[in-house]
Amino acid sequence: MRIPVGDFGNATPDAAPRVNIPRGAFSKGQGLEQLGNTGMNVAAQMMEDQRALNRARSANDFQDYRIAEQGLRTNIDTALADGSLSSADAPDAYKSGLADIPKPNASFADPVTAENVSRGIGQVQAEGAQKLQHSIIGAVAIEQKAELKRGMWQINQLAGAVGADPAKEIAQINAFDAEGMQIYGAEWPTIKQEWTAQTWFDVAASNIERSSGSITALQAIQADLKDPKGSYADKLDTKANTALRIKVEQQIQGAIIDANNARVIAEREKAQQQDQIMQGYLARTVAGKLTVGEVLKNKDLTFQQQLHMKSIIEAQANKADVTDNRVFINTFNRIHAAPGAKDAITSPDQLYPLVGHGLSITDMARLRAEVEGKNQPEGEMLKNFKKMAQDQIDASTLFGKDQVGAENFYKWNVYFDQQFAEQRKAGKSPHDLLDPTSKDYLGKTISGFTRTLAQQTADMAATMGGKPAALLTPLKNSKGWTLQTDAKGNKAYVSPDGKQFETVK
Amino acid sequence: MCTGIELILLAGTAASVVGQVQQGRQQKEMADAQAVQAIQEGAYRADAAKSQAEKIRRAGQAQVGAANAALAKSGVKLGEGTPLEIQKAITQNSEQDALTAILSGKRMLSSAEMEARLLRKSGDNAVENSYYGAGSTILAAGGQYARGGWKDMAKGE
Repeated sequence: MRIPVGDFGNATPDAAPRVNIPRGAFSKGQGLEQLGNTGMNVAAQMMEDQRALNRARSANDFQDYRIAEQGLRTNIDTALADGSLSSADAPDAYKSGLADIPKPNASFADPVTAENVSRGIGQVQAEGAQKLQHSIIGAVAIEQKAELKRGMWQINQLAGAVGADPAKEIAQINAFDAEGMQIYGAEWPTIKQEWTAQTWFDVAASNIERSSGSITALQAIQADLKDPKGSYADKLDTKANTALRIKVEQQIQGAIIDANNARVIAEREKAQQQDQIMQGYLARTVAGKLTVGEVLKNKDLTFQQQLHMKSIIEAQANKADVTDNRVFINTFNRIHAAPGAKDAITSPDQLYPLVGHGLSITDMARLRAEVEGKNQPEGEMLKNFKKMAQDQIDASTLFGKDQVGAENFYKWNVYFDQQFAEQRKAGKSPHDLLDPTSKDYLGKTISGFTRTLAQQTADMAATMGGKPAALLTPLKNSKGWTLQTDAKGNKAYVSPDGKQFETVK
Repeated sequence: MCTGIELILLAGTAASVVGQVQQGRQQKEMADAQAVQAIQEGAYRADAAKSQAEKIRRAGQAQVGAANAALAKSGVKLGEGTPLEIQKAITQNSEQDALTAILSGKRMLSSAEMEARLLRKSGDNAVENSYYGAGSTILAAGGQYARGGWKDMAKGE
């Protein structure tokens, strides 16, 4: 018999189920790590930024240094070119200027950048020194050329001096061959030829200058320049020869003009001298203190002038020293005739023959003043003014002969000249005296010498009948006293001192 | 004065920070929920093991009864000698099986509890990491802003 005991005791315990482990259970610190990493990244990036900034600063500082160095060399080049700095002083100037340029500060930069900057400075300085050397070499060449040119110029100056020997000067130029070849090289022969030609040119130009004023000497040089076998024939090129010939031609023309001018001036001075003599003779003639013999002995006067003076003395002696109004008016018109008119009077000499032939010495002197003043602005004003007065006083231009008008114009002319001279002496200007709006206008004096048309007609009729009508009262009497009118219309001749008078009836 | 770019940087940073913190919290909530679920599942399994152990014990008692009946039918005196040994063996074996079932349940519960602890820790870590992540975002944004303003920094020097 089988006893049922069951199936017990065989069971085994189940293993514990696998625990699902979440990753997050062990992620503590990940966030902190991420934070730390972020901080490190930020710091690293900021450090990189700072390094980049420092590199950039160093690069900029270095660039500034390079620019300043270039500027220094540019200044030195300019000074070398304009001569304010000599080539000998250039190295010191560069060294001194370079020391004043602040060097780039790479101390805060990374070592590589600092090394690059340091090497860059060295490179800039080395290149600068090399370029400066080129500039100095160029400057030395320029200075040597300038020195040589100065020497050539001095030789040219000597060649132009009085008594200079051109051959000796040319020899001096040849003595510069060694320096010339060193400085100019193959160009030197051409340059020397130019200086040699210039020396000959200067010699010729100097000779022309020294001969200035001497037409004969200048013409001799001109002939020499033109002569194919002349002294300058093989020494000057065509251009230089032409220039010198133009120069000498100008000098000759100038000398001719100067000679003509000198002759004209001498003639004018002679004429002035003769005129003064004639003036003196006229004054002495009026005083009766001049003899014909004295006049004829004066060799400074022309024969014609001597004859004129003789005629004047004779007229004075024969009491023919009087003025015919018609002659006076005619002479006045000839003086103020249009330029180029056939019988125009342009010189006081033309007045002398009229003395004794209708013109007194005094009126000749008056008309002489008209001639002398005609070419002056004041004379032109006076001429126009007198022509205007003549038209009002003298009707000859309208009716032919107007004897009374001519005499009145003569009287007015004498009166006007006297008044004009006195007023001018008193300080009045021609404008004051000839301007109708001026209170001192002398045109007011004209009305005292004019007549009505009927009176003019009557006077001319009477003249044609041989009897002049009523002449106006003379403005001066035989004593030279002037005619004046008082407030009541009474007329009288008044002495110059105003103390004596003669009543006019 | 803030420029437009700086305002965008500030807004982006703020959104990222808030998002990271919220994500950390949600991860914690999810981990906590999973932990509760794991605990409950472990407890269910432990309870099931206990029930199975009781069934085994009852089956053991029934088996002892069946054995006693067979022994009694054969005429063997019960309660001493072999029947007693058979009774003890059936009881011991069934008890052993019952204890085995209980042990298995305890093991399941223990695993569930461990998983729950790990899930909770995972949640805590997610929150903590979200804070650090937010800090990292703020730090990165600050660094970016500082780098962007290096010209100003350089002027200031």
